[in-house]
Amino acid sequence: MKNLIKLQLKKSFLSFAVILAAILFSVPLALWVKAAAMTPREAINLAMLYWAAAGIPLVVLILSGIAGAEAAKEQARTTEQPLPVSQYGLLLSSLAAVLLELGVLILAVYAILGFNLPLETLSKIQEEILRLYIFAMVYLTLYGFVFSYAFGNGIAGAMTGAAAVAFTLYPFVTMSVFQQLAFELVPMLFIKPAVSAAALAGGALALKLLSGVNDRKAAWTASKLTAVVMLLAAAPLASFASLAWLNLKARNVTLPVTRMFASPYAVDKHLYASRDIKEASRLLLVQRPFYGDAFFIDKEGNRSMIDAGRKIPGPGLSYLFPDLTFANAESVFAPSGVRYLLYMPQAGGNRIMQGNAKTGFAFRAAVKNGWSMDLLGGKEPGILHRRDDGYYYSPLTPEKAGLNWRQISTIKEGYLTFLGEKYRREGTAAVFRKDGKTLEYRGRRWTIPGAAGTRLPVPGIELADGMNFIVPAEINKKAVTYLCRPNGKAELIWPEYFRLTQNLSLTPDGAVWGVGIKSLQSYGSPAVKIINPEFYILTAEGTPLSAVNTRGIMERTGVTNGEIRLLKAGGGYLWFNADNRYMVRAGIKNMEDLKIWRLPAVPRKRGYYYARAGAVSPSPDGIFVAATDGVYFMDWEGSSKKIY
Amino acid sequence: MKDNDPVLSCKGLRKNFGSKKVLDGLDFEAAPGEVIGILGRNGSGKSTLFKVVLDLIAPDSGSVSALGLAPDGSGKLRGLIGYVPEKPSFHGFMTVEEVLAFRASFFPGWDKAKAAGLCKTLGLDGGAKAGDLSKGTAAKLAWVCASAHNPKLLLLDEPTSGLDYLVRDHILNGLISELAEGGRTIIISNHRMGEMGGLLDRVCVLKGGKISADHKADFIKTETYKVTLREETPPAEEPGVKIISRAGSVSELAVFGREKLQELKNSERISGAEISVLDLDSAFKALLGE
Repeated sequence: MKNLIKLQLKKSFLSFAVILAAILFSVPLALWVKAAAMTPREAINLAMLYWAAAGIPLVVLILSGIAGAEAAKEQARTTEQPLPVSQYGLLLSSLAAVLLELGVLILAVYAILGFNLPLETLSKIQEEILRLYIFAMVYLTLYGFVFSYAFGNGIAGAMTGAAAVAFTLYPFVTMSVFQQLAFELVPMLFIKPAVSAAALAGGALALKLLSGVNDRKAAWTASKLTAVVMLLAAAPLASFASLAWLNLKARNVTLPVTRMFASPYAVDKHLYASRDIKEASRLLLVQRPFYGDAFFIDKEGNRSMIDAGRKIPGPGLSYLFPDLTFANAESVFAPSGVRYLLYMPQAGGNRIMQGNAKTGFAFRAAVKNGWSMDLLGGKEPGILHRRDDGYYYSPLTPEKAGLNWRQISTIKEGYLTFLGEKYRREGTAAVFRKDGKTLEYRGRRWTIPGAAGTRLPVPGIELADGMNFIVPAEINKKAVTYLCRPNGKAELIWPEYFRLTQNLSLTPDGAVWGVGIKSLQSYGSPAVKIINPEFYILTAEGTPLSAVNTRGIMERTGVTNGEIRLLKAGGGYLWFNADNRYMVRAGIKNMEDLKIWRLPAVPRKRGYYYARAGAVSPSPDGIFVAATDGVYFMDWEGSSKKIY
Repeated sequence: MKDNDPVLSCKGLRKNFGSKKVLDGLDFEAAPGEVIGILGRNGSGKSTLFKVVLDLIAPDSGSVSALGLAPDGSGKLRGLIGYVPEKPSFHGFMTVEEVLAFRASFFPGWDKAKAAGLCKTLGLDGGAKAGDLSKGTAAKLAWVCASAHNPKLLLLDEPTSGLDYLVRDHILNGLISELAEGGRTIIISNHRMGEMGGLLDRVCVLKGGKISADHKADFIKTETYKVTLREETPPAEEPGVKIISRAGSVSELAVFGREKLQELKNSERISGAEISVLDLDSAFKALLGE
């Protein structure tokens, strides 16, 4: 084989040498014609970019086209085939020679670049493109050769080969980009090698069959013809089939409709939005990005339509990639039983809607710039709007349609005073006296040593024994957190700093929780650093828990990124969402007493937001899971059903 | 493979090119040391038969066994067979020496000294470019390539086609004789089989995709007769009897075999005819029409 490859290299030496010389010559040429603003290195890089993007693919087509067509000629039959090697082996040697030449050309360009790509770091997509580039060049060589051999014509063969490669790579690239930018819905780890293997093995096997007919004069049969066509079409078909699969999977993707930049913590405005979290969380607002529709759904699967979405014509397959549309929304649940919704679809205007699950939802008012608005809950729900000239507020009442805006402050003054007043007026906040250490609420007073008092009211939390207040303080230069109980006692509950509007979250059952993150060396490989969250929890019954370690959960579930969130705390147990993959119940007294339930697969974007923005949403009776194939509801005992 | 086993055995070979039947159930055997001429008209399938034996072409059906191996597409068989194609072809950018060195790397039994000796005998210039070689010189180079690895079986496809007299003589009286004397099995297809008559042990006629006649060479040389008749109604053609020419009342017949001739004589169908031994060229011509 080595001698044959040498022979083939010798045959194409002149054309190859000219091309290699052209690459080398392009270096001084680039320096000669470079723009004045360019550095010599930039000019050379640009020239090499040309070679990589256009020159080398074209050269590969020319070389493989010539080699394939020559292998089919009578000259090759009479000159080389009498040698004691298989005719297929001869073809492979010719192909190997072109691949070697391709390698040398790529290496030449890489060497001119100083064996270093002119990029500081490679992003995931760039790495992907590089791998794809190498595969594409090999694929182009193979198919250019095979088709040129089949047609006995280099130009027709190279063009057909290029078309086959383009048909394969097009869905391949769009899928990769979609999965990088949107969701991972199909297993590219499996699809990539499968399509690559189909491309390479398909081409090689088709070449063997073609050699049997062209060289060994075996008769064409229908089955042989079908086999050749199928082998050559396998990669493009597999690639398009994968894209169709991605389209079909994308249809069923559900996502909760939330605000894109909503904080996971109960911060000021959002605290108000979540004050009625127990009732609010009985419904989940879900969207299907493929169709652009959105609806509230309850645990039984009853739906209330918010947005009918768009009609998808025909089979609804997009061969660029699935065309997704995303909505953002925020809702509050008023004591009157009315739910208000600020709905911001990607297509269509922003609007306020109101209603409930029984009667459905109706349009209330169109709004502009919904991005700069926030809903406020409480006894008097309303909407806060940041405009260029200040903050505006409109109450939301079921009786009155439309919005009634009034300015509440300038931009410089901010909205916190207004919020504090609203808390105080509704009796859900305490205030610090001027000494900054004494907290007052409806005649009750708590004096907290080293309290980090603020001029703003302190929002309360409703626990089993009534309204409680969480206050951070500093004792002996160490941050701690106090709980001011309705019985007038101020109790140090956590040896860490926590404040309700900064780093604490609420669960629908009324528990309050925060996380102290600890980075640890892995329990597995010492080289892998894992993030181990420790939880600080105040159960709805008023029991404080400190530094609840989730290491056992991480070990059992394999979650190493710290993505563990509390779902419920009560009855002697804690329920956690482990990385949107498991619901875990742990005994409060024994954190090793674990019960683990696997969750349905949720759309998983590589970025920060979708990975944690509520694919799993707790409610009083269990959790909603907006999964890749629909919506599920799992109760606290792990019994799950698909509700949509 | 045992010593007495045929060097080459073809059974029921069939090969069609489209609707054209080229080989149609061909059976053929060659014993060790035999020199066999394959006689056939253009397009009768001689080259196809050789290519099937060489494992260059896959038969539609039937089997081949050559030197104990069956064709399997691997090309191994070609390593054991010496082959001189009708139109030898070499890479034009190689010199004669490079051609030989290149070929040598594929044949384990390549004898460099023999190749060099043959080149010298045939007057081949090792430095000459293969692309510049004349037809005759290319044929000589093909001979060197075919014989330098000492094959036990040689397939010579029109080995003297298009060559001038001197080269033909060189090849026929030099090379083939030498090879034949070395106990090799040689199968030769040639339009002008007459010039090979002295070398052959057997002559097979390939017609209609089959071996239609298979005679010992001595039989052709000594028992093929020309019968010249002056009769208005000469005997019709029949097995063993072929009309060579007819002009007025004069007819020339070819009669194959002493027995057949005696049969004609006994039946008084050739009374008064002039009878002589047919020359080889005419005998082969007659065989082609037999």
